[in-house]
Amino acid sequence: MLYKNVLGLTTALTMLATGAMAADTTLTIAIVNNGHMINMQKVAEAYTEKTGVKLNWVSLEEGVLREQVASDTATGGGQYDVINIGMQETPVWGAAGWIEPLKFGADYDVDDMLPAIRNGLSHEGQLYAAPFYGESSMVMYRKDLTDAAGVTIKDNDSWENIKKAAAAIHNPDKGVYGVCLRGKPGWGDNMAFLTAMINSFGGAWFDKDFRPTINTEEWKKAISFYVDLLGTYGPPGSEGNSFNEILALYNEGKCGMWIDATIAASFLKVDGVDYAQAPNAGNPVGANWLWAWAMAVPAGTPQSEEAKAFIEWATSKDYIQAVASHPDFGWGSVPTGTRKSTYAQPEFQKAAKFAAAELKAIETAAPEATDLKPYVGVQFAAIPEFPEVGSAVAQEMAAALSGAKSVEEALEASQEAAEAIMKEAGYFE
Amino acid sequence: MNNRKLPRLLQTPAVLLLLVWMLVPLSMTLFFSFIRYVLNNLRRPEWTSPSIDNWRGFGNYDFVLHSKDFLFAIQNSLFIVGSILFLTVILGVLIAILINNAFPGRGIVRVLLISPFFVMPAVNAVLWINMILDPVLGLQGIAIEGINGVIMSLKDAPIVGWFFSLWPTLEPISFRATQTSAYAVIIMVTWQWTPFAVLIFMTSLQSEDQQQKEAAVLDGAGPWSQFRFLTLPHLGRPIAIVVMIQAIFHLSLYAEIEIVSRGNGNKNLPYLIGEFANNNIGAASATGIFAVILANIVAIFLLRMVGKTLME
Repeated sequence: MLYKNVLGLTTALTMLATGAMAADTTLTIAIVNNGHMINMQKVAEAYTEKTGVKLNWVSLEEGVLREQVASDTATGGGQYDVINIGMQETPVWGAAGWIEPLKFGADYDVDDMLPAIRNGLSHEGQLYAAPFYGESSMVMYRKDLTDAAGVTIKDNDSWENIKKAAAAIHNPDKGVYGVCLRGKPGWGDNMAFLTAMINSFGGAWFDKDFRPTINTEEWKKAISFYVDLLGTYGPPGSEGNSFNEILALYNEGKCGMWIDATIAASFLKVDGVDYAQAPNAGNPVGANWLWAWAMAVPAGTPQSEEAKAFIEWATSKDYIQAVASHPDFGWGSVPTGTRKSTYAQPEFQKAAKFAAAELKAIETAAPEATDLKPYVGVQFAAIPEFPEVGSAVAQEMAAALSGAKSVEEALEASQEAAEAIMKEAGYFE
Repeated sequence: MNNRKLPRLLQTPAVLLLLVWMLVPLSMTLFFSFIRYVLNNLRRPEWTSPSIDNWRGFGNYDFVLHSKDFLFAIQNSLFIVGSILFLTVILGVLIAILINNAFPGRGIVRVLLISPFFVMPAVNAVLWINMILDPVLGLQGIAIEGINGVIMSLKDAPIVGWFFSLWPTLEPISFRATQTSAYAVIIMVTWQWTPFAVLIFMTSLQSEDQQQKEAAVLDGAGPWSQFRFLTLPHLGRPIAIVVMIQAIFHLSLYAEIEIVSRGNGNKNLPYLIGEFANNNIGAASATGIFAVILANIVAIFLLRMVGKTLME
């Protein structure tokens, strides 16, 4: 309850503050504290100069941002004019009427957007959030190590082959572990990787009636393989590793192979890294995920026109050019994974060795609902209950990885928890 | 009569404000805990507004009671609080007695001892889990790698080599694992709160009756008997106070649990509330009411204990 009070108080204060400054437009923008967004604060100084619109940045950690923005938007708090949201929230919030549909002018060139990204950020064909950067997943491996061990990794390799390669380069006495994968519990942490992997084994979160399908053979195969692979050839303490932790390990030279977000490639400081499309066990849904951090306008903000104009600028081709020509940045720092035109730039291709692999991974990801996976989203399900289900299952998967529970026990507990949550939400009796 | 009425009248606004301050949030929580209230639900949009039409009776309580980690969260809360109290009181008494006597540099030692208490909980957790307890990049990982390296090189040494070749290679412990994450939280919170206990016990020791101690020495009492029959009873009241204040604080641990394990194998009622509060406000409120009940049960025992020592 204290939390509610504080929230109410801060909302009131912010409203007072924004009310006082209404004369000259100030947009309050909630952003996730990732590199590209932090850079945006500098690049956007030019926008303020050009238009006179002042920008008030609120930079938050991913989880905190989600919680803040969700409760603010749900209760119509009106704290923010522009919010950063992801692909999981966009279709759900669009359907709930929490965010406004985005319609941009011809200059914006919506068709330049990568189709997979555009589909993932739409609800019933209407764009609800504009992508700031997008990502898929791929294998990032140390070619020097695989060459020395005499193994190769192909695009869309089999999981068995990945395991063989991990075994060949695993050398803990020298401080090199065969493979680093996410293990930290969280629907956006270990479950992002695991869901993509389970997809590749033919598993899914729910059937067409939204009954959880977690205690199935496909899940069991995938999770058993994961626990075995990471338990045998992974670094100790993998149940605590997510993107940032593994990035630190990788750059310390501790990881031979890493399957994670394509965006990681631009942060890798180790020599001899090569890229391959994510492994697949032969399923058409594929094994690479799809994610975008996007910008949306919460319904009910009085400055929605100004907010939309800002988003139109911040996700345009001009913005990408502005980052590329900014003295502090350059083509290596432009937000990727959103527009075809970015990948067509020769300067970008030169600055980003991973560009081709990233584009291919994004283009082959399929967020649409299919018979195999009857919900929108690749490594998540775009329904309001998913974060709750995903976190509960994520903890069980971490317990299986720790060895505190057997894979079967963890999957049974996950299924039971997921059923309870979905039943509570009124999907079935 | 009149000279009583005026002060009461003057107090009324403050009392009313206090009542509102406490009652409004509590009654809102109670109300939410009896209705269906979720922030977002595409199937049943009517549940997204807090309305009396969505009355559910004890349904939220039933859901929370049967949810996966409810009983575990209560057990784990009590385990964490109990362990921290046990460790901080014992360490606190020992350290306080150790630094009670004058020695060179005592001032600096005291300041160093007390400083962990001023570290913010989230910073404390991040420091411990990433820089000290991490099995690869943390102090633990580096130390174990170093020890293993030394043993490896000694295995080839002449004469003593056979002895070291019997030694096992040490494995680092992952403190984010299901089995160990609670211990990580206990370690870091104990580190942070022991200074508080030391501070209280140290002040209390300074008021110990020195004449009584001298008399005891004359009667031939050894250091242990002095400690057992004079110091420990003297510390009874401060121990009770330390236990009570810490119990209240540690029942609501959150940052440490979030940072160490995200609730994997380690959560308490506040953490469970946080998990529900992402969408299901009804369930979060019901959990909140359970937390209030648990806190009151603990408080009743503690107040009795403190009351008893105060009576003696």
